[in-house]
Amino acid sequence: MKRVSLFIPCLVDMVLPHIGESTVTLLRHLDCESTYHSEQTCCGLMSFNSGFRKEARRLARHFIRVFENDEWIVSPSGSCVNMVKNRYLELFEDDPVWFARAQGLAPRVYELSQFIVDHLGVEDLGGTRHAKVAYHESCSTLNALGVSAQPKALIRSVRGTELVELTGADICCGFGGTFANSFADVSTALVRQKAEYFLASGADLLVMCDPGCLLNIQGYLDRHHPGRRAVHLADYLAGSIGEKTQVAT
Amino acid sequence: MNITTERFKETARQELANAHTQKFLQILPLRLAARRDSAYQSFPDPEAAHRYGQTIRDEAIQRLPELLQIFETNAIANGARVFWAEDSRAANGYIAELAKREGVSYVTKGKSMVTEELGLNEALAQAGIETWETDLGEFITQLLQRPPFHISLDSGPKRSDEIDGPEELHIVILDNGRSAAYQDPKTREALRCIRCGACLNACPVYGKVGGYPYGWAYSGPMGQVLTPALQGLGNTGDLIRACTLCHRCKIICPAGIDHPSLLLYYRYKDVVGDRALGGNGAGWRERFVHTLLSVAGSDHRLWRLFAKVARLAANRFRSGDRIHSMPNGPQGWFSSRDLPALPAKTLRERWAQIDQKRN
Repeated sequence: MKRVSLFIPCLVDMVLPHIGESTVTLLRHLDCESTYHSEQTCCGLMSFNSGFRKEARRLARHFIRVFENDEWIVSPSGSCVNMVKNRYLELFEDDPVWFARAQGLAPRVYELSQFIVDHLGVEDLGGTRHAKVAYHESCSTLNALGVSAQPKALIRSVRGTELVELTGADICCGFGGTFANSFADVSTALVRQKAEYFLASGADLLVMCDPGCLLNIQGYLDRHHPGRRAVHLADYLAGSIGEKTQVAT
Repeated sequence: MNITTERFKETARQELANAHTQKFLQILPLRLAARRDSAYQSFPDPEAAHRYGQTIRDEAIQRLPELLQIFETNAIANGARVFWAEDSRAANGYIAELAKREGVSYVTKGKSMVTEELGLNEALAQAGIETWETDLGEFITQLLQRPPFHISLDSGPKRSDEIDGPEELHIVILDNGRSAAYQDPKTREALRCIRCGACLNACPVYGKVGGYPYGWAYSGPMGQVLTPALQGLGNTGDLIRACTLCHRCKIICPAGIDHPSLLLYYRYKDVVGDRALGGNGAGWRERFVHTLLSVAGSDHRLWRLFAKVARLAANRFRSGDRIHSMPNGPQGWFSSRDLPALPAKTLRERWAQIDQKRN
């Protein structure tokens, strides 16, 4: 049994904890034992993206201290994984000691679907779920991590699930963290476009690998198209293997 | 030309409401992306060609001072006259003086972003010299008295058999902030740009607001990396933040520019009020938020407390399982989106229960 360390994004911890539970469910299903360091806090993504590097470094050092002895670190968020895997190296470019520690950690950090498909070598979880779904390519997942085939393979492997084409699947949903608030007009135009393409695809559900996109797209759907659902890949797959995760509020 | 970079948000809002712009943008990026794809397919190994192009640009920029010297020597040896212009005033002055001296009353001009950067047309007009754009697209925008919307569309008519060679060839080598940008290895990367415009067509933000909000000669992601490098951060606070960090520009760039990384660098320099780049510094509110995050995030007990306070604060405004607005909350977000009410327990607080059940 493999021991996997859960890297839970703040957004999942505080707002969408069901994604974390589904992650544990999937890993358990794949014979992996999840460990959770309760000392973990925030990887520093928001501060780094806002230009607050000193503050981000403080968070990053904490993250590295908490996780650096783990063999496999898995997170259900492409953007948080990109932060730890790639951006930490920029953050510590003038600090050889912490740069080396960040560099040592980076190869052990995986986005969830990447871990399942590339590392465990599993493309079929053996689940069943009757639905027509579309897949949204979260930018960090697709463009920064190069992860796209993995989640789609996992979706296609679910019996009864049809993965339909989504126009503009790889166009940003307009989230971008604080961008969604400070450039609300542009952000809204982008999330509206994403919602329109989703509705036009004929899919029942829009699946994605990043909780940030999910918050944005679901937030827009709730306001303008009540009843239409976006769902995180972990939740979708956990639902397909019979362990229905309750969406807690 | 007039620099209106500081009005990014305002112009973006106007363009989002402009039916013509929106119709144009619905067609343009898709059509250009299709053209680009078919052009790339003409290479036996498109990715190798891409990497090769990046290497060429990288080498050319690293050797820029030396290459410029070689260029000058060769140009002079071939009978050209070379003028080194420190800024747009010097360049425009040289060109206007030359025209006056030669008794020129009108000039024809090829499409050139660097002359947009100079504001050459305006400078010549002031000197009483009429300018004619030879590029059809540029000619139309000239008649409309608008800056170019896109940097690389349309090409002018050419009849190579009609070219008779100039009597005099004058070359102006323009600095206009480039030497300063060259000093910093980060901003130096922006100088690799070949003005192909691929990043504009890939950019989701450009795809919604078009070229005008960027407010200077260079629009889209290339403008976002070039304008601050050449103009400093003073009026580009919104420009460097008008990006979701989606990375499409970086992937598509044939010159190998890492736009997201550069924008993050500019944000950092802006927040710390960097002198060389003229950073603005951050407001107390933002400073407070990130200090709080970093202090609370360095100790999980404080973080737990922070989560509790955030939940209490946010859920005061819940209606059912949703939050539709918050009086002092993120108004931009709530202008078009809801938030879920925060769950009674964080994952951390549920862990003992999850652990027992699953493992």
